[in-house]
Amino acid sequence: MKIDALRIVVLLPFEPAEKRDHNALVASVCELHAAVPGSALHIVQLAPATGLVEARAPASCDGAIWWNAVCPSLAADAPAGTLARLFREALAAQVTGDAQRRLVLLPRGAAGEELAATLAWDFNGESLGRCQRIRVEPESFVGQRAAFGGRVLIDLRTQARCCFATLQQQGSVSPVPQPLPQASVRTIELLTRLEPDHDTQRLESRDAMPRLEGASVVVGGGRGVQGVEGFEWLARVAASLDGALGGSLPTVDAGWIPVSRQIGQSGKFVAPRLYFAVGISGTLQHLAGVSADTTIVALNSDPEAPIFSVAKVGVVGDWRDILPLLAERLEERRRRG
Amino acid sequence: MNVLVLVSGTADPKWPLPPRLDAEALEAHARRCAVLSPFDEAALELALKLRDADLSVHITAVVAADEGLARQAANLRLDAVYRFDERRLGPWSARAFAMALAAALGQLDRSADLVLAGREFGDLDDGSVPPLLARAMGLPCVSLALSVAADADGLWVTRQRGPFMERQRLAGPTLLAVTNDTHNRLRHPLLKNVMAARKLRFAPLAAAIADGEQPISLGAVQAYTPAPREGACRMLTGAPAEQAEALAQVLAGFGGPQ
Ligand SMILES: Cc1cc2nc3c(=O)[nH]c(=O)nc-3n(C[C@H](O)[C@H](O)[C@H](O)COP(=O)(O)OP(=O)(O)OC[C@H]3O[C@@H](n4cnc5c(N)ncnc54)[C@H](O)[C@@H]3O)c2cc1C
Repeated sequence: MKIDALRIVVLLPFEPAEKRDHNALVASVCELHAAVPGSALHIVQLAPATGLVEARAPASCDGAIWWNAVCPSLAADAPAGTLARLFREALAAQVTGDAQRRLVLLPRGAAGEELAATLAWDFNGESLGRCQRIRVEPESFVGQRAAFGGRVLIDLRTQARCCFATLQQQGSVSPVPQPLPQASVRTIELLTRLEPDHDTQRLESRDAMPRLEGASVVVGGGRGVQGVEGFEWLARVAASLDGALGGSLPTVDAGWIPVSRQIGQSGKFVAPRLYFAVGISGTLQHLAGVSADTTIVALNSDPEAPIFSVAKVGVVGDWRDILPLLAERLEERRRRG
Repeated sequence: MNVLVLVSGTADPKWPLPPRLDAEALEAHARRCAVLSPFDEAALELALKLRDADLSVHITAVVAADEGLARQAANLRLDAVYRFDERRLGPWSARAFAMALAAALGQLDRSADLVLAGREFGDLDDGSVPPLLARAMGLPCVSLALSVAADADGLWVTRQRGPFMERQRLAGPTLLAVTNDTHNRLRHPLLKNVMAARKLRFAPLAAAIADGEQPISLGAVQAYTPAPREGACRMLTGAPAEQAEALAQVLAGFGGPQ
């Protein structure tokens, strides 16, 4: 099977070194690169300066080239529109005069999906959206993704020469990345200048809790938690486990947690070691946001709740009876060290 | 101010999927089981809030779904409701859909000062169509919009960005990809408006679709049911105090900084 020369490009927004959210994506893309003999892999990392993000990939990732794409005025959490301008310049610098097929991958999430679509438009390509797997065939790219509320897995095929997608990390454990040799690391100084944005004001954050991304324990509340009071107990439980707090879509609609903490199909994808689900029924739309190899522990008043069919440990009970006692015990354990 | 709201609905996840899973059956299912998605609802509510604050606001809705959903939108006493018939266009290519819709929207006689679309408008449960449509319409796109309000300086949108919320002044016509929030839950329609909407006919907006192959086609389809993760669930039984103690032991085994 002959596959036209293929360049796989990973576009990584700037993230401070300690976050390491992108390691799993890089590991998944390295696997894809290994499965397509003759493909070239380019990892483009945006940063405000060189040296802020270490060029790292799994040791098995042969021949990857790492590009530090530097824009001095870039801030962490830059909006998708800004990232699109910078990636456009970085990609254009890489692709001029180059007739290769290109597969451009971005991290999963609302910003990644927006970027994949926008850049696909700008480069006259197609975006396959939020993929779980990507296959490269001689004439086409095939993205496997969930649809219809997570109830079907579909293959989408395109023959576009330039294909964009977001790729979801596979599982919560990925190989430990190693620093890439200096010879594989290059720098592009981006010419795009970001003007100060006088039209935007940051509102005081109403959310100072640990972030969901990268948390090793996540405590999630659902409609069954019935209000802010229950979420206060959940926050105490989360704090005593050094965990992060999340919730289902109805709890965002109810105003018990902000939308940045929604887990699921339309929210965050989390891959903690433990997900403690309280008052959550376990719909596919919610579970779409929880990694398949996360251990789920569930508390629900309904013994028939579907969450128990994916949980390792379950408690049938009313959160009002259990959570205060649980918080007390966990806090006590923590005090005792 | 002319506000254009785009509504596409979503296949209600509570309805079972068809036994045969292929493009035709899935497209038919999506049409038959369409309900307003939480994000369609949020977009509609933001438009209504703008009109509550300023009665001169004119709301046009374009519904890319069957008549039932168009009527649900019309129940909210919008100023004009059109149907975009996307039947010849599968939902698989967000780009093809956005291009056809942008061309169809060009037929409207009012040009929009603000376009509101749910964040998963018109696609397969992700957020690809709104940014593509913004590109196709030549508009900036603001995503994860939570609310929008007008003052003497113009329109301000509040949006979620990472862990922060920000307020951004819109410099001109913009497409907002709206997400769910407690302040933008859709109101119930008034009975008199529901009665009035019964008799309405919705003008179609035709999709300008070039003949030829779709840029993205559907391949294999399989039903997805999550596999039990680690065998049967171990239930912690007993009185609440016993359950809490046992649960604390299980959870503490995972907790603590890494
Ligand atoms: C387009 C679209 C996108 C969506 N995206 C998402 C998404 O990203 N994330 C998401 O979560 N959902 C999403 N949904 C919604 C999804 O379909 C479900 O409605 C939602 O997941 C249900 O949330 P829940 O489990 O909190 O509520 P419910 O399904 O109502 O479950 C509540 C549970 O609480 C239990 N309970 C009740 N009282 C108690 C008590 N006192 N103590 C303990 N347990 C109790 C009940 O037994 C029940 O199992 C989406 C839907 C659509 C249409």
